[in-house]
Amino acid sequence: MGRLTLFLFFAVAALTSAVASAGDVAIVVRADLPADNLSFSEVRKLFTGDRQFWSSNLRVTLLIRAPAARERDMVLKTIYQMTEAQFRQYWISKVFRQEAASGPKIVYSNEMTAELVFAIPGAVAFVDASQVPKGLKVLKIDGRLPGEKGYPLH
Amino acid sequence: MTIRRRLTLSFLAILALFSLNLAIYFWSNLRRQATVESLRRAISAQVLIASINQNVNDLNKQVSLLSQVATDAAGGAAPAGADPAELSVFNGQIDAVSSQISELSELAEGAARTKVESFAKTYLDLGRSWKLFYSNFGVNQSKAITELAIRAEPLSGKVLREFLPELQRDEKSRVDAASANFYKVARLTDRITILIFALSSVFATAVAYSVSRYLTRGLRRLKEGAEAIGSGNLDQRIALPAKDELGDLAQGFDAMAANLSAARAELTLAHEQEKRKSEELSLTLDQLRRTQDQLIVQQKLASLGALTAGIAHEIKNPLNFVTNFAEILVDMLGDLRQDLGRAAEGVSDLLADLEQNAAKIREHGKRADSIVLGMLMHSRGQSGARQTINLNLLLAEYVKLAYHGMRAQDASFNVTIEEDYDSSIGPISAIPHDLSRVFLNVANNAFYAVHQKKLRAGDAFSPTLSVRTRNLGRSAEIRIRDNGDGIPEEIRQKVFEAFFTTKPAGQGTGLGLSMSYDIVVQEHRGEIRIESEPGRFAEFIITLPKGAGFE
Repeated sequence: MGRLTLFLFFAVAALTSAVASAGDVAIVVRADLPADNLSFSEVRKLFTGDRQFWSSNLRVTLLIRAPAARERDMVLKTIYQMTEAQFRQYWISKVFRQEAASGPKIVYSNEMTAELVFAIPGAVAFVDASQVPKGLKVLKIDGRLPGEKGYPLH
Repeated sequence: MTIRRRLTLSFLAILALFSLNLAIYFWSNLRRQATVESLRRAISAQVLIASINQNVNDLNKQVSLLSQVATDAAGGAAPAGADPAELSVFNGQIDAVSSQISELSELAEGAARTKVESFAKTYLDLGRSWKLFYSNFGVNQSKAITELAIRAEPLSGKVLREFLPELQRDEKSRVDAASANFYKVARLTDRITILIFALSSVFATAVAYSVSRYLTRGLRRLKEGAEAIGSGNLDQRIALPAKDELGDLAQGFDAMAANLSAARAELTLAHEQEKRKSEELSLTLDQLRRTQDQLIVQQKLASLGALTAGIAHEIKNPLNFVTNFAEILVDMLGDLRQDLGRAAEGVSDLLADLEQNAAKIREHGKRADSIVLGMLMHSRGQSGARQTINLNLLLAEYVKLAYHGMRAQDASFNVTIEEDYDSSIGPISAIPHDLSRVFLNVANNAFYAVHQKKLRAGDAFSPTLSVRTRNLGRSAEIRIRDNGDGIPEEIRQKVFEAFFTTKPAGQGTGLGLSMSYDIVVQEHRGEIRIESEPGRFAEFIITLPKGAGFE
């Protein structure tokens, strides 16, 4: 029953998003996260590991899709501005230099992304703007939501 | 206290100091070992914490990068679950760190142990979380990631950024404190050791100085005492009040010195007595010898006097006849010359010869009579009466008389007379008639001697007669010295014997000095002696008592 409900939920959400913002990648967090709007540079700091806490007690947990996912390619291209190899090298170095407590967690599907964002306080992930799961909050970048003009993750 | 006991106590005191130094050494060693052990535990804990930190970091990196690496390995697909062997290795690594933490807990002390125990509990939760992550990884990836993000990462952050840095700081402080304590203890023990050694040295030096000073002082006093006694100071005593071997030795020295002093006093007394006796014997012997000499001389003179008296008595009568008849013959020849007148010149010449012969017979008869008279006077032994006279005047008068007598016999005779009369002599009691004969005889002999030498030597010789008197207090000394040929030793023994003369026959009777000796020695109780150096001088020395000694 739970699984069916979840499936229906994602299906409805996908349809809604596809209509609203086809092609954009949305940054999603839990609804209770105390942040709604981030500048692009803040987004970069979040995903490059330079900012590791939302607040003093809330740790940032990065969730990123496994290679070959479109969202991953978009993020690497627009936010990291790195290739796959550079991305891997970047995080290995950062962890070994102890500049980051941990690297991004790899997720393999939007379902898994939604499940983990719900489960982990402070988790932040990328999903296709047309497939944003219900219950998650989409963060604005520079005051813009996916689908709006000037949204950077397009 | 005896020296033996003093030395024994000193040795025991130094032995006690040595033991104290040894005890301080062992105590210092124990203190240092304790601090070294504390330092070792702190360093071990520090090393262990570093190792734990490294291992936890490695595990944290492993789980942090595991999903990414595994996904890459799977070509972007979801990784498979870990195989049991890999899981076992991972769990073993986590358990190894747990063991290290247990070891660290054993090394920790006090408040640090509480912290380690809290750390161990946190790590235990972290280990469980990691194990849960790893066991779900690839199986239930969402659960694994959730476990990692929600539990493991906060715990690992707490462990890596709170517990381990704090433990490292604590252990560093502990190492620093242990190190500081080590150096502090080392300095303290070094100071105590040096202090005890210095005090021991001072004490040992003081003991050694005290004992050696006591011994050397005592021995020095004994040495000084022995040297004083050795140099003859037997009154020297060694003031050493010590009641020990040195004191006994000093008492022995003092007793020895006292005994030696008493023995020397006895010897000195005996020696003085012997010396006095010897002097007395020597005086007695000299007196005996003089007496013997006088007795011999007196005996000779007595027998000679008796003989002379007999001879004189026998010869005097014929001589009286010869003299008397010679005078009568001269008178008769005078009468006959008057009676004959100028009748015959030849008879007159004959009568002159007879008269001349008779005169010679008378002259020689008188001379013989004079000799006989002298012999009689000699045999009688005394003549004249004692008077108080001026010795210097009498001597000067008769020396001059003798000189003029010589000049009367030979006008060419000349002599330098050096006179030195001591005016302090004063009047003396003597028989001037006899004493004048003495001066006349001695001066005549002196003039004769220098005259004979002058005849031989000629102008090269200057005859000199020295006449001196000297006041000797109770006696007066007369010295008559000529620079003639002197008197040899063998002759000097005989000059005072009667009828001994060195003059040619007819010029001396050999009685002058013999009579002089009798007059000086027997009549005046004086002395007459001769000093002479043959070829240079002869000196007659006459000593006359001023008054005492006359009978």
